[in-house]
Amino acid sequence: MSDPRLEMSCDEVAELAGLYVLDALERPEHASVAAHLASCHDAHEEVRELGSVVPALASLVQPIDAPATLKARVLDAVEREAALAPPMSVATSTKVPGFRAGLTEPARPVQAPAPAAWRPPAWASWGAAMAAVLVLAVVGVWALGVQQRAASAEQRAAVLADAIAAMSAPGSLIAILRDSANQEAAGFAALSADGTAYLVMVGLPEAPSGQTYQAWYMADDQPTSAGLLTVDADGYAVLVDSQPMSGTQVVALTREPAGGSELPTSAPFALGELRPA
Amino acid sequence: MYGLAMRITNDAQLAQDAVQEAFVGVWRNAARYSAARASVRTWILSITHHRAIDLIRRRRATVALPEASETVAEALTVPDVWPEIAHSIDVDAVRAAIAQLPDAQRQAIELAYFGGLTQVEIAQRTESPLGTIKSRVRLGLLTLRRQLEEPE
Repeated sequence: MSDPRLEMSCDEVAELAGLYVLDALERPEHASVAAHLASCHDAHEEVRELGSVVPALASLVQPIDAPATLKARVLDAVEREAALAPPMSVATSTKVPGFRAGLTEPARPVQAPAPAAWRPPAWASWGAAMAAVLVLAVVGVWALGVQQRAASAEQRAAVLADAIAAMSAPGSLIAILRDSANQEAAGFAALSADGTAYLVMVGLPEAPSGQTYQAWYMADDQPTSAGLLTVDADGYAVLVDSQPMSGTQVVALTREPAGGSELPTSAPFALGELRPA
Repeated sequence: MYGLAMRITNDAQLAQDAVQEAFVGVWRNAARYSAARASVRTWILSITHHRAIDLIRRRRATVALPEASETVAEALTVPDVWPEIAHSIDVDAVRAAIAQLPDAQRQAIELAYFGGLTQVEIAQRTESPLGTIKSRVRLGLLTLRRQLEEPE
């Protein structure tokens, strides 16, 4: 509950809306407006209206390359955060409607989504399925290679810095990933404009024995493996991959039998929809 | 992020602090991010903005308020060449829209957003009543919104 002396009327909030969206109110006043907006039955359209100008103002700022020391500091800080997280229990996966249903259908070949009206002849699907298996094998091997190369802390830091840069770069697609059963585990997937895909998770417990984490790209409910995620001792998991096929809308994480699966065998415990950064 | 923080703090050390704190804020609040309300980029930039402003206000509390510097107002009128071409259309439109604002409105918005001043500080700096600052900011933002909604 806010201090009653600072409680604001709708009119006062409307009057302060411009200064509020520009962050030009004293902090207590800012908090009062925020509290009012959170509880008011009025939608306060004027605040959103004025606020929509703020990203345009931010776009006027010329990007400056952050000094290398900053990247190191950011990574240190984020890693400290991860280390501060309380010990995690292994979360049980939750069912996500739709995903599971899609998987119980006969496995469709992994291919770029075709227009609904066009159905490939049987031999074409078979060929596509073979090609898909080959692609998965190559991606899997490649992901393993990256994980081995990224094993050193230094290399991982470099990848993380790139991933973080991609997360805030214009032209990137971002999905925020959260473990629905474990508040401590969160991360993001960033598909940068240069064609690289990054997946970073923080706070994941080690995969249960005999299992591994696997990332998936989903296009029209059709999953494609994005590689296996190895959780480091500090709860970090970083994956670099080439861009998924176009039309990918969702990035999802599942627990799979060790070695990974060709198609998901369990419902995702984290998934996020891709949106422009 | 760093560019925005530099713009507000005008100090490499503070800007780095702001970005670092913003990232920690992003991690801590990832679970509260709502895709319906803003893009990730906007969200991250607003966290950065908020942190940068916290930091300069904290510093101002110990150091005397700096004299009105040219840098804040000047920066918006200098034609920057942007590296990303995809950005140039938007940015030009925004810049043009801001240039068309009455001086007093433009100054109030710049002091608030890029200067990190509070309404009271803006009123002191521009020797205007508080109510005037409120309406200048509101009118200026409304005009910008209208301009940016109907590109020529």
